[in-house]
Amino acid sequence: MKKKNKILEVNNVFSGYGETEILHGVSIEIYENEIVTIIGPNGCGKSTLMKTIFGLIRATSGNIDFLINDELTSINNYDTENLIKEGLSYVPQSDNVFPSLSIEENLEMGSFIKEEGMSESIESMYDLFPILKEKRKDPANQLSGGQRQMLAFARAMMLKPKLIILDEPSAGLAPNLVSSVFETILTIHKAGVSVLIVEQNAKAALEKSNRGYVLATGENKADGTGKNLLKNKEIASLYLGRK
Amino acid sequence: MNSYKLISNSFNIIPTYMKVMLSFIISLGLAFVLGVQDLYVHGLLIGTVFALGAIGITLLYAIVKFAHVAHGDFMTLAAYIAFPFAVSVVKIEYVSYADNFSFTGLFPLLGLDQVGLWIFTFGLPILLAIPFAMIILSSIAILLEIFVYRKLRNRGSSDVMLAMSSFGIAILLRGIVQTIFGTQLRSFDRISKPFLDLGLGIAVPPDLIFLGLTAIFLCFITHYILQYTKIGKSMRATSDNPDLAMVTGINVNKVIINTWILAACLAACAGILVSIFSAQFMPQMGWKLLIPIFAAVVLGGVGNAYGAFIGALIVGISMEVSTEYINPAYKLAIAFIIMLLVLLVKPRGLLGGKD
Repeated sequence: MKKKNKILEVNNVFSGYGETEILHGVSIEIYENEIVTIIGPNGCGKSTLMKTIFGLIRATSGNIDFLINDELTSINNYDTENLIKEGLSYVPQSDNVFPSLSIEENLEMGSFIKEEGMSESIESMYDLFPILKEKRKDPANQLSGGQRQMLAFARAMMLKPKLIILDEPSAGLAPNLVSSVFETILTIHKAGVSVLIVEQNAKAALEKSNRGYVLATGENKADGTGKNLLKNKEIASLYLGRK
Repeated sequence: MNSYKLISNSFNIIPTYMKVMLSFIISLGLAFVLGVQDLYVHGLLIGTVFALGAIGITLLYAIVKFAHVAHGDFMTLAAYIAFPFAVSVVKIEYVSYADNFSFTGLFPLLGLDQVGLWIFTFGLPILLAIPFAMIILSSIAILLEIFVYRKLRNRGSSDVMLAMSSFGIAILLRGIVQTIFGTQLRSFDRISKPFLDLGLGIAVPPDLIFLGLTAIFLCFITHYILQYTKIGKSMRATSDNPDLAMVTGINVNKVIINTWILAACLAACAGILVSIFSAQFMPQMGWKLLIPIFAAVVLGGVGNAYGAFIGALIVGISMEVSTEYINPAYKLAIAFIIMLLVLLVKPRGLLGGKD
């Protein structure tokens, strides 16, 4: 079996807001075509890690490398626009669609920085999520919660990213919608994208993931395959709420 | 079954544009019954010019998130930029100097006709001043954004502080106009032309028709930009959710600059059109226009460009029609009473605004 390429490597990263340091040396790595989940309690720095990778907050030390032209390149100083160009995409936790724009316009915004191939991309998103095609002319605020997540993922997929970062994709959704959101995540994963998920709903996410990381108080606590983490009694009792 | 709910629900499924069209047809019919159709048409045409200002203010509110009080003085400035174009002799009167001086206007030098183009009182030169005023005002708006408003935003100023600073800019701009051109009434060169009889008891000055058609044309262009161009879509996206716009790769600062350019161009047009129609202008002109324009913005729903357009028409019509019954000096009060009444029933404005 061919060894998979590493596409993201976060190495001993320190980061935070102003004077407050939140991440005290976090390391993660993601390989091609993987689903990786980061779990951990509230305030452990999950969201900060996302934002640091996506250049919304700058790392104070440590390295973030991303696969650019088949070579791991430091993206510490890349701005958002360049990260999107190089194939990184981010879906915020809430408010992740443009409510007054139509479904189609939301997708167009997904390829705002590169218009060529836009209509093909939109068509392929409609193939992936036929429900969006039905409602293409409707404003996004008329979608249900699950459909909104679909649209948000589709928007992030428009430029065919190598890695898509999902910040708590199941947060705020009704329990019966959670499984449909994870189905959606598997759908986009099958389209050939690596997925990094940050989740509170750890069990559902780990079940669908290849690997997972556990963060606590801004540091790595554990990592392993999704199944092993689920089996690990200590993690289960600390972070999954089971005995 | 609650019959009131049934009626209101069945009313809600009528699309908004149909309701708007219906309201205008009904109110026009009412105007005919009351014999005020002439004033109604006047008000409608004047309202379209208010709309140019109102759309700019409401778009700025939707994207830059504060009430741009200096918008009226943008309009004043536009009229004064057109001034050297549209008069045969420019008199410059420094406030502090005893000696004034004058020079020949720009266009007589080129041998262009000054006044009386076709059925209108004004001439070609003032129309040529419009693009010129657009460029100057856009540049001023961009400079203000980069050196004042953006700096304030980056320091975390609240929207009230930004609005107050634009109030200061308004006074500054007016001061500049007064220093250069003096405080007295000014007028463009013109010759008088007969009113146009449209039948049905409606007669309007041709200039007013030019005003209305130009303003509607510009509103239509704005609509096209907002709905169908990449620039317009990025403006709507940013107004919906600036944080998401940023992580989507939209350069929010660029969007804000585009909004300033659009708003400044509309204000430039409005300023020149109003000064053509009112025949006279002075440094306080734009400031006075600001009142009905803000009424229109609030009436339509703050942040909603289509609401601003509808609001401006309503304000224009109600102000003009009111002069049939009460002293014209109270025109502005009427605009505000209508605005207050509508807000009591629909607090977010007629078409619903942004929060």
